[in-house]
Amino acid sequence: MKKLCLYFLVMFLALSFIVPAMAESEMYQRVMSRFHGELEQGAVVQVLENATSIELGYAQQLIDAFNAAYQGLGVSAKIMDIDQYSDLATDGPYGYGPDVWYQANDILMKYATKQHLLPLPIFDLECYPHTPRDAWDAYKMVMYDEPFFCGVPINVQSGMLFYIESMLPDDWQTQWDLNQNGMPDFFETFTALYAYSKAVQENGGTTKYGYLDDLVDVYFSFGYLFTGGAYVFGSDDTDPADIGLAKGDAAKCASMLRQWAALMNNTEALDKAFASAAYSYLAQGTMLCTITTPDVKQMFVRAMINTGSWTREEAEADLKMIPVPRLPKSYDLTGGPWQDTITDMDNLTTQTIMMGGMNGFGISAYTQCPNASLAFIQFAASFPQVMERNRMLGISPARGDAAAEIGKDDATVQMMFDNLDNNLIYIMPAINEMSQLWTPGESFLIDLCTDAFRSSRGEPELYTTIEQIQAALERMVQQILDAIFTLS
Amino acid sequence: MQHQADKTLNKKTPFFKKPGMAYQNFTAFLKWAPPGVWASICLMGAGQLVYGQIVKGIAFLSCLAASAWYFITMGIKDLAGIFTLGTRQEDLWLGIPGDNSMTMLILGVFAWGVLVLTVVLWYANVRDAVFSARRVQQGKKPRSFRQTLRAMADDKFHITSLSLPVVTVTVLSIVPIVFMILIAFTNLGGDIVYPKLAGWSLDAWQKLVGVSKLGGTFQKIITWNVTWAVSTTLINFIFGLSLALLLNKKNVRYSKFWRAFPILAYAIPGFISMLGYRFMFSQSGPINSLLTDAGKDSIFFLTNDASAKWWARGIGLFVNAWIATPSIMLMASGILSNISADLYEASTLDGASSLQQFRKITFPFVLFATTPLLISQFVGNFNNFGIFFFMRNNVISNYGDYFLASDTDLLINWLYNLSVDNNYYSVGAAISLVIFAITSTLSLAVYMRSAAYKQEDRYQ
Repeated sequence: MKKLCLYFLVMFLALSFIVPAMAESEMYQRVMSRFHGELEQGAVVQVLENATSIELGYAQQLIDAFNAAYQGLGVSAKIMDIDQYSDLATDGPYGYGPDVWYQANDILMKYATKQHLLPLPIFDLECYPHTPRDAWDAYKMVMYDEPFFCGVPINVQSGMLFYIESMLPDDWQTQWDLNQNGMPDFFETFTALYAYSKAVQENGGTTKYGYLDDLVDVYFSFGYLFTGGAYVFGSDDTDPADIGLAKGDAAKCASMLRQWAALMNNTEALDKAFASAAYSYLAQGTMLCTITTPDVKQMFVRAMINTGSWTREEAEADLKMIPVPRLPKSYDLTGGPWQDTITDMDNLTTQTIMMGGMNGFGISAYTQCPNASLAFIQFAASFPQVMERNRMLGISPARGDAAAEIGKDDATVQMMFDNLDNNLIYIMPAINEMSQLWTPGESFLIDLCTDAFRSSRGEPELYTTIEQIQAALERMVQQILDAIFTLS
Repeated sequence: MQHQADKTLNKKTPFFKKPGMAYQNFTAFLKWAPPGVWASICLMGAGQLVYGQIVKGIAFLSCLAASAWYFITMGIKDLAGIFTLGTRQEDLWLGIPGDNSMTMLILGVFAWGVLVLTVVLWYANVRDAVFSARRVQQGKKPRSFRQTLRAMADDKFHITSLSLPVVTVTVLSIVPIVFMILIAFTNLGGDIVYPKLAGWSLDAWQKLVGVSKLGGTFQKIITWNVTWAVSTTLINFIFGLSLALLLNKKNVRYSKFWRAFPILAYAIPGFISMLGYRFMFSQSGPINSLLTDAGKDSIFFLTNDASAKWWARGIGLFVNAWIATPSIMLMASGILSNISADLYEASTLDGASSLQQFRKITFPFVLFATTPLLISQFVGNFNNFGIFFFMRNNVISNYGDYFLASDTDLLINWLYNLSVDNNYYSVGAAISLVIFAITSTLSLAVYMRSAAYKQEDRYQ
């Protein structure tokens, strides 16, 4: 009897898995029926790449390589002008827009949720087994009660700390390497970085500032909030009614941004225009380090070469890109000796979670050549092309094999890959409502960081207590909710 | 004489005689109508063929055939589609075809436009047949095609010359305006965008009036918008006129050389100037750098801070003056050179001071000539999208409780934020209708009260 029960239980469990799988398979087959593998003869795949890729020549190299590889197969590809009919929702139905679009996952998914991007047969792609599940999940959405994937991840984007090795203080190995691990302490914890920056600004050093950045960029600064337990949307970032940016210790974490603004005492930190000046500032020694994404690495190299002090090879060797430092668990950059955060790192600090994106390729639902487009994506996501993209743009690949190969020479790439695996990168939510986050978020950050300058101008300070910052965070959350729901 | 007689022909026909008695006139007209007119009533162009006007008859028939072909193939569907805005939702993934509400609205407006055009043509065809019938009754021959062409170049020239502009304005201006008006009465926007189907709704108006966040922001923005439009128009006018007066002075040496500088500012594309000033006033820009180098605090010119509100507004006024003043100066220079020197000479002999000459001669003359332009400047400034879009986009004024707007945004910027950045098309259309109502009312009111309208002949 026991055996019979066990038999029925096993049968029941097996059926409960098999039946939905069969149902899913049928719908999957219907949706994927247009990807039959026959290339559309004469098709010219219009590819919309990002500005840096075009500027640094990788996009053209990719197109040329594809055209050479597919010569004789009746298909080719060409680059579209940036922003030319890139709004698939309005231009797509009338036959305009790209066939293949390279973008961050939040933007691609904004269109995918309204069916303007096609779900892709990712399980048949060569890159599928080489790319971690988290990366694919950045393009996942549920339709007809089944999961579909509307993009192919190419590279992980997240904030990294950039510095020039030759600009490190001469005494860093004796004064700023307490744990003797060969890494300057001020790149290991934000508390130490704050202390170093303060010392440099007060006493002078190899650079004018230690750490300088625009603190009002949501993409980079919200990492502080995530580290404190905040989140963007509830239910695994699928519920726009639950915005968690004021949850957990978000207010305490945000207060560290105000501390940075006060220390920097430079209103450039309140302006996103700083990002374009950052390349030359780093090269000219205005600051020792700054945080930005790996795909602009070559812009720093170019700025260094422009100073005349480096050749390309020297610049590439001298420019370092490392994970961002750890944050203090006290959420106070001045809350104790910085040395303690180095000697007792595990107890006093926590890994910083950074917002990140998964840049990848999607296919327009309005394309006339889905198979040629898929062939292009397959080509662009291949191991050699991803390696080439890394070589020319410095990106961190989403493919595990490429990350491992590059990681042999550049440990940072492997670290970024591991961070993704260890949930230290908060991938931007893949729902349409995400687009309402940026402007209220930036306005909150500007307001918060500006507060550090108010007293010296005779204006009342608004965010001197955690309660006041909490109220501001809640106001920002309400603004986002208003933007999402007031008019919908 | 012959043309005069022709002109009176239609007026003697019952249907066209007394507009106030339409029914009686119409029944009298039907009783009177000879077979040729009946033919035109029944079939466009048939009456003309009956009267031997072959080319004209074929032209009318061709129009009817084109119209019939259009309505049979797609027009009838489009006429009906505007009422439903779609009944089947498209599934782009499964390749199931469906309706596109936005397209149906556009095609519906077009179909109704074609229907109106067809009715107008039919009416013209009947009038033409009546005209020919009257001529026949008077014992004359119906006009030949050559005579018709001659008449179109002569006593009906106004129709000939205005037809193309009227059609162009209808297609390029009126149809989009009608489309926009209709959008304001749908629920298009937000989640209701293609491939989802939209429907007719007063939601946008209810939200604009009823949702307090929207209404509060609307009030603040419209107050600033009117202030901006009036002040920037006045500033530009005063600066432009002052420059023109200065450079028109005979004692200013190298005036042509000096005049070149404002023209240079005018020649540079506006958005480049705006971006240039944005950089200059940014936190990392040269003005703040100079301030900090001099040991002063940098100023929040364009930042999202309460203290930046009037800085940003002031910079907007300044930049707009920089861009627009040269055009006013050029125009005022032209007008000043047209004022007769005799007026000044006579007033000087009468003992008028320079200020009196300005108040009594120069200013009224310039104002008279520039009123229509000032109105167009006012409307342009009211809808000046570029200034604050380029100078201060992506800002929501936290401190001012604005909804998806900053304290420098004009209605047009807010409209853009709502409709383009956030896809709230119907609310955007409702706001644009409000903008249209304000600008058209103010413009008309000012123009009707201006000397340029009331005393058109005074300076001619």
